[in-house]
Parts: sequence; structure tokens; C-alpha cells
Amino acid sequence: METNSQTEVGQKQKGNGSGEPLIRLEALTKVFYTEEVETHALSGVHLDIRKGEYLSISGPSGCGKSTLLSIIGLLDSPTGGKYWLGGTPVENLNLSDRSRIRNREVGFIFQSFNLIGDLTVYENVELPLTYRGMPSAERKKRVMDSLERVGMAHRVRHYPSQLSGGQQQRVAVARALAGSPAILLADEPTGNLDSKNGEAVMDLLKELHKEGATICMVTHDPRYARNADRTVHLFDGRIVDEQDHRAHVEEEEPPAN
Amino acid sequence: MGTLIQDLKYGLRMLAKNPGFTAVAVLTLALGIGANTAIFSVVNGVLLNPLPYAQPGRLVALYSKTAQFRRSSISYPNFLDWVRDNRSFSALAAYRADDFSLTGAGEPERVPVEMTSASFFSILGVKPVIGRLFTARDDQVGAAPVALLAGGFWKRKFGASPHVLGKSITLNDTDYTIVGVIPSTFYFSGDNFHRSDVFTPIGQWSDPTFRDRRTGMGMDAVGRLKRGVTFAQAKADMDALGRHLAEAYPEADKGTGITLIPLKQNVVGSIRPYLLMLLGAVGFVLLIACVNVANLSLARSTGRAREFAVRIALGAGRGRVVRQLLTESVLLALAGGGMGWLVATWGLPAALRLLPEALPRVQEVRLDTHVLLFTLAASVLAGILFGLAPAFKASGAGIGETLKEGGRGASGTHHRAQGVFVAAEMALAVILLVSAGLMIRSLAELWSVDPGFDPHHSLVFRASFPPLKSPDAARETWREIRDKLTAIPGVEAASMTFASMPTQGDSELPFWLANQPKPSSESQMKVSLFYLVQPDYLKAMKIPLESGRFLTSGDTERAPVVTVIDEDFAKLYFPGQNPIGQRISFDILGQTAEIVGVVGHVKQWGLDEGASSPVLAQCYFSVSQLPDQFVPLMAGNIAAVVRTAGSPLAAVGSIRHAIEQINGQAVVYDTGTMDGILSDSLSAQRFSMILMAVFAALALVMASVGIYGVVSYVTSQRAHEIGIRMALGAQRGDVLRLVLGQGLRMALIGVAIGIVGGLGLTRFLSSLLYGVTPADPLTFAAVSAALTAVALLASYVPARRATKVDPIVALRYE
Repeated sequence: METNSQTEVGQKQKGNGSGEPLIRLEALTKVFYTEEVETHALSGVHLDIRKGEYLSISGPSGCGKSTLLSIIGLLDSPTGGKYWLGGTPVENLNLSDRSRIRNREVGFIFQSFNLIGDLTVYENVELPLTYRGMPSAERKKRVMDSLERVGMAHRVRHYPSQLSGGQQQRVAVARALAGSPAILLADEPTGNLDSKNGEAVMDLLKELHKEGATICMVTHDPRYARNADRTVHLFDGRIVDEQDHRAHVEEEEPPAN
Repeated sequence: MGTLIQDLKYGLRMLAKNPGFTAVAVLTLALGIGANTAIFSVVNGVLLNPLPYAQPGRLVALYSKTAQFRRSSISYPNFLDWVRDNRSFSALAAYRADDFSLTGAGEPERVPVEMTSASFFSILGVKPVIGRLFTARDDQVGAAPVALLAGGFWKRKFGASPHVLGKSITLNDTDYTIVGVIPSTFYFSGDNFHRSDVFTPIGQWSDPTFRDRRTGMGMDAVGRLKRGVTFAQAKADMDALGRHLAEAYPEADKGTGITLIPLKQNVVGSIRPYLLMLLGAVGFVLLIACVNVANLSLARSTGRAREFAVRIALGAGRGRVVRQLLTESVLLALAGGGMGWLVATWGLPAALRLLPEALPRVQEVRLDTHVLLFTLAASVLAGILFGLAPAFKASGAGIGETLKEGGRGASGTHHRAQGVFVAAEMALAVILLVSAGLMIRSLAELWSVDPGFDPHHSLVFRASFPPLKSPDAARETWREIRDKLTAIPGVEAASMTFASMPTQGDSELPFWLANQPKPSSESQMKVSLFYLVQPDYLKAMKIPLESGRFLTSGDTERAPVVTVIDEDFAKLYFPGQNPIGQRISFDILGQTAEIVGVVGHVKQWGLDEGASSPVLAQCYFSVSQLPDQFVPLMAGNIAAVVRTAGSPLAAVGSIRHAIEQINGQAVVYDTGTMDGILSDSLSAQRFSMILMAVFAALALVMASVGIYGVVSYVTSQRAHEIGIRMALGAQRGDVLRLVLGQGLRMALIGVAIGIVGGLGLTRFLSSLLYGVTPADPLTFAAVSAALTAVALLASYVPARRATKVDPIVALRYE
């Protein structure tokens, strides 16, 4: 029952508060089979992401970062292990349920923005809300709120090709935010940006986090990883290290006057 | 020259490198060019080529003109006056078709004979294979009977022996001396000209009716204009001559005139609109094929964008890139043209089998040099046409963007050109399908017309008899024929029939109402179709009797002359009166007849007969009451209609046997069902309907392949975008709707344009339609719905494929 599973995630998420994590992965594995070769992309990942947490995932190329993010974002399903989203097991959902939950609970920010070139800024941001079947007036309000939040409300009629890379990524962030997802998943969000625009996008994420957003970001730039509350290091499909930046930041911060 | 060779070599290499693309493109073009080649060969053979006679531009067809008919038979005395008094023609020749019985040369045989003036063959520039043509001395009453043989008959009957000259053949009991042989390739198209085995001089015929200025016995004429005389001058000259004859012979010629028509126009004029419509239709098919290949090439040029960017970066000008691509497209088109030629070689004989027998000049349809040049030109034109858009697109691509291979960040590409092409081919397909639909509906309407008789279970045949001894003997033979035919098991009714025959031949009689004074000239008389039949005719044809009685066996030569009229006759000449008991007088027959009954109207002029048909009134006479002087005219060739309980064709053997029992030298021929005769009367409509349907089907297939190809291509190009949409939560249904919507949008735009175009173009078909208007809403609606459904179906396959896009794979592409 697609509707049930969708409602269930929402309801459990509301009661999530402090105790139960928003996302829980247990012994998660992912194996790719190509001809006669088995590739173990993830080998027993255990990970909890709490509501309101800002997590960064780092590691060398091919270590499984993007695969992990795809599974968390319900774009892919694990080969083994357990995955709870808002307390609901989601590792065995069918395609339709995954689409529905993804639409409601997950906001994606991609390295190369992935805006649709034939749609205006407004239409790009509106797209996930359209798939949700939201009434037009509410869609409009949410789209404009999101665009204002990222400082792009003045560009609603523009097409992506008329925007700079940094502006495109801000629109992508607005699109991710518009649906009020439980979690924002960002895959190398600064990878296609110059340092100035990269900084601006990272500042935006930091701001969103301060406002309560749960963020999970893949990056291999240590400067940006440090923006997160916590960084997990992946190597050969396993979490090999974990750093909590909050304590570090608290230590470095001068005492308040 | 060097660069051209280089372009050709490279073009060939590129086509060989993409065998799938090349095969689909060549096949598509082959169908388009092949269909064009086949139809053009018919247009070329029938409409464009000059007639196969010496100086054909100076040949003119001549007819008598009456109030009812623009092209009416000429009376022989009038013809002789035309020959004597005209100043425009170097020669005039009359011709008339007949059937004679050939006896004394094996089994008796019915021989189609053309009676011609002496100058007939010399006017056309035909020379005999052996012997001589007729001379003026042969062409008069009392001259020794002579005959020319047709080449085919000469070979079949005499083994092409040169010693045939001077021998005699017996036709209708008269011995004719063979004086020459006409080439077997000779033919002539005319209403009263059939493929004849034997030719005899028409001037020898002394029958008084033939020599009566008031009657035209199915004789037409052809003339050769004198050098320097224009058609308009000849027309003025003959108009003056017609007026002179009307003054000289007012009783016969007042109110009549002379019709002149250039011979070629006379031969092909009626088929011209059908052929032009078909040529237009295949032109549309070729355009659709070009659009399809242009779409394929556009997709391919997108794949080769990097190659062209490199070429331009290395210094190639835009013109150079356009030339390279046009060379490739023309090569492709030439390959398609070559294959199209093969398609036409194979398809033309099949198409010719569909052609109505009556189609003039069908013998001249062939794939000749003109057709080859047409195919070549069509191929090159098609190559340029479908090569232009891809060439300009490729040459205009931004080099920097293409070479960087990056700069992505937004997914989605514009496919405006492809969309325009798909809309265009849908529009063309709508026009073709609507045209075919209108033709089909016309034919269906015609088929549903009540001809006024029941054509089912009805057989018609002809029989030639040797000359009968006397009118009384002929009448006795006719009664015997009726009795023998009626006695055949399974035959329900039988009647001989002379003069008019529904859809096959017409004869008219001028008349006046007996209670009114006789008009001073024939042109002032009323005119009715007349049918000479036996008492069971009504039963054999199943024509309803409206009032009174039909002819009976009591209406003999010794009984008072009676006639039965049809309801149109009654309405026209006895409005609001009871026609029964009224009397009408017939000048030529020299009789006054009492009307004894009224029957239903029969569609004499074909199923499309309307109020504008030349003569609608019909009257029936008993064959037994035909005046003696006319009996010999009828006795040699009889026709009969037989109604059977079962299959009419099953009775043919018994009929043949019955006729042979009556006269061992009689020959039965031209047997056919009434259903078949009605069907043949629609052969031109059926022929064009079938070909239009074939071309429309071809257009439909091509358009659906086109829309499938474009939607597939665009969808594959949008895989990344679809991946993004799915990542954002699009369900399969959303993706399905997205892709179907794209196909549907293109199709609907095309259908809308097609409807507008169709409304404009189908007006030109109005003369070919029956019972349906060129803007028939039902046809337009059905075609639009069908094409939209086909477009949806064609889009469904790529749409289904799109729903299977894995967002991970699509996004990994980033």
C-alpha cells in the first residue's frame, strides 16, 4: 500500500524528536554485478543521522560515497542490510513507493545542478511539487518562498542557461527545499563552481542547517567537510573514521561576552 | 573537382559506416521515389507523351453537337458534306465499331470490325505491313468488298502469311478481299472505336438508316488540320459549315452543330483529373519520405556535431560543411532513387493490372528515358530537400560549446526542427488520408445508389448471328431465343435487349406528343432514351411496374404499337396527368405508339446519374414491333439479359448451347454479370480510390515511423532529464504522460495544419466526388482521430522505454 508507507514515514518522523535517528543504516551492503565481476561498493555500513544534523561524507574516488548517498536518497536499493527512514524500513520498497517517499522526504542537490534546461527557474522549482499533486496556489507560495530563501526570486522567468553556475546551484537548492523534505542530500554541491560561488553555496547550506535542516553532503574538500557537525570517512565501502566537528568548533570558539 | 571526389569518397565511407541508418533512409526514399516513378510513368505515358501518330498536334476529333449531347454521333450524309465543304482539314475520316460473324474459316467466330473512311489510316500516318490501305474508290456503295486485317488477327488466323493478300474472308455472309495488313502495334482510342481484327470501308454501307441525315449510327470522325490552320480557325470554319447545313437541312440539322476537340484532349481528358490527383498524392508521399530522412539525418548530425566542430575549427567554411553533408544526402537519395526504380519496375505491372480497361493509352505506359530523368531529378531534389536542414544545423553549431563537451549543468535540448518535421509529415498524411477517405466514401455512396434494377443474379451476353433472311425470320428467331433461354433450368426470366442498355450504351429517339403538331425540326422535338425489349425484360431486370402494364407477348408486329414509359418521362411530359392511353409519335420509326404502362426509372448514365444527365426520359418498345427497315440493323448482333436463381455465370454453358441450337453459326460473346458491369462502370473511381488508399497507407506508415523515430530519439536525448525528474519523485505514469504528451503535441499541431490544408486542397477533388462534400466533417474527424491514435501508439513504445530509465544511470551520466 503505497499511501500507507508514505503516511507512516511522515508520522514517525514527526515524533522523532531527540531519541530515534531520522536515518538509520545497519550493515548496509551494495554489490554491483557486471558480467562475471562482483564489485562491493558498500560493505556493512552502519550509520545514524539525527534530525537537524549536518553530516558530511568524504573519502577517495570510488570509495562508495555516491552509492551511499543514492541509497539514502532512495534512488537505489541496498543489496543487504537495513535502512530505516523516520523509523520506517525502506530497503525493500517498490519503485513507486520509493518515488513517492523520495518526493516528500528527500531533497537532492547535485554537483552539476541538474536543472531542466527547457523549464524556467520557477518551473524547475515547482517540478517536485507538481509530482506531489499539490494545488497550484500552495505550489506558488512554496516556490516563491524557496526562491526568496536562496535569493533567486527575481529570476523566476529565466532559463537555467541564462544563469551563472552559482545561481543555477542556488535554484537547485531552492528546488530541494521547496518540498520541505526531511533531509537534504548534497552530492559534491560545489564541484562545478568556482571558489567564490562554492563558498556562497556552502554558506547557504550552513544557514539552512542553522534553521533546522538535516543535511547529508558528500564532499572531498576538507574545508567544506568541516562545515558539517560530523564527517564520516569512507574507504572501500566501509566507514573507517568519524569526526565530530561540533566539539572542535566549541573548543576553538572564543567565550561569549 | 578534387574536393567533390573527396566529398563523395568520404560520403560513401560515412554511409557504409552506419548501415542501419543508410538502410532505413534508402528504403524510405525507395518507397517514396518508387511510387513517384510508377505514377509518373503513367502520367508520362498517358498525359505527357504525344499521341503515337504522325504530327499528332494537328489531329482533331469531330462530333455532331445536339441540344443534349456535346459529343454525338455524326450522320453519314452530314459527314460527307463536312468532307466536301470544309476548308480547314487536309482530310477527314469517319469510323464506326461493329461486330461481324466470320464464317468459312474454321469455327464461326465473332470478329470486332471497325468501319472506316478510306483516309482514316493515312490521316494517322499508319502504313500497312503488307499490301495497301483503302482507296477512295473502295469507300463507296457498290465497290468490291475489301478488308484490312489487324496485325494480331493476321498472325493468329493466318500465321502472318504474306500470301494472305488477295484471299477472301466471309463476314456476315459477304466475301471481303484482303488488301492489306495494319501493324499490330496500331491502336486508336475513341468512343466508337474498339480493338478491331478487321477494317472495312464505311462508305460501302448502303443501309438506308445509315444514309438518313437524321440518324447517327454510332459514327465519329477524326481530321488532320491543313498546315498553317489553327484549331480556332478550324472551329470557326466548322461552326460556319454547321450553320450552313442547318439552313440547308432544317428538319435534320436545325439546332445542331459540330464539336471539335484536339484529339489528345479527347483521348485523355476524362482521366486527366484522376492522374493529376494521384501525382499530387505521390508527391506528398515523397515529401513525407524526405521529412523522415531529414529527421534521421538531423539526429545523426547531432551525433556528429563534434566532427563538424573539429572541421570548422580546422578552417572549413560553413559552405564547405554544408556541401559535404549535401553530398552525403544526395548520395543517399540516389541510392534510394535506384532502389525506387526497382520498386517501380516491380510495382508498375501490378499497378497497371489495377488500371481500368478503359484507361486510354495504357499500352504506352513504360519506364522510359523521360521517366528515368524524372527519377533522377526527383532523387537529387529529394537529397537536397532532406539534406538542407541537417546541413545547416551542423554547420551552424557552436564550436566552442561542442568541443568543450562540458558546460552542462542544465539538462534538456531543443528539438524544434524535429518537431516541425513531424508536424509537417502528420499534416501531409492528414491531407492524403482525407483525400483517400473522401474517395472511399464516394465509392461507398455510389455503391449504395439504387440503380433502378436489381443487378444481382443477372447475366448479360451478346451473340452475333449471320444475316437473317427476312424481318419475319428475325422476329421468329428472337422469339425462339427468348423461349430457349427461359427453358434453361435455373433461368427465371430472359429478354433480348437492343438500343439502350443501362451503363453500357445509349440510343435516343426524338418524339412529340401525338395531340400536338409535329415540330418542324428534330432539334425542337423532345428526346427519350429507348429500349427494345421482350415481355420478360421487367422481370429479368427487376424493374418495378408503377402503373398500367408492361409489354406482353401479344404486342406483336401485327398488334397496335404500344410503349411503356418510365416515371421520369411521365413527370417531364405528363405532369399531373395520367399518361396511360396518351399517344406519342416517333419521327424516325415512323410510328405513333400508345402508352400502356409506367415503370421505375433506371440509372442509364451510371450510378452517379443526376439531374444534369443529358436525357432522363425512358421508353420501352417490343422488339417484335420494330419496323421492318430497322430489323437488319439489329439482327446481326443481339444482346440479352437473363435472371437466374443461382450463380448467373453457371448458366453461360447452357446459354451458349441454346444459342447454338438456334443457329449453328451464331457466336456468344461478352458474357458478364450485371454486378460486374456496374462494378466496371466505377472502375476509374475504384482505381484511383485503391491507389489513393495505398499511398495514404504508405503515408500513414511513414508518418508513424517518423513520429516513432523522433520521439525515440528525443526521449533518448532526454534520458538525463527523465532521470532528474525521477530523482525528484516523478512516477512512471508521470514519465509516460511526459513522453506521450510530447508525441501528441507534435501530432496535434500536424493534424490541425493538415485539416486546414485538407480543407483547401480537397476542393480540387470535388469533381471526382459523389454524395460527399470535399469538407466532409465525418471523414476529417475520422482521419484526425485515427492519425492521433496512431501517433499515440507510435509514441507509446519510446514512452514505455522512458519509464524504465534508471535515475542512477541517467544521473551518473553527469
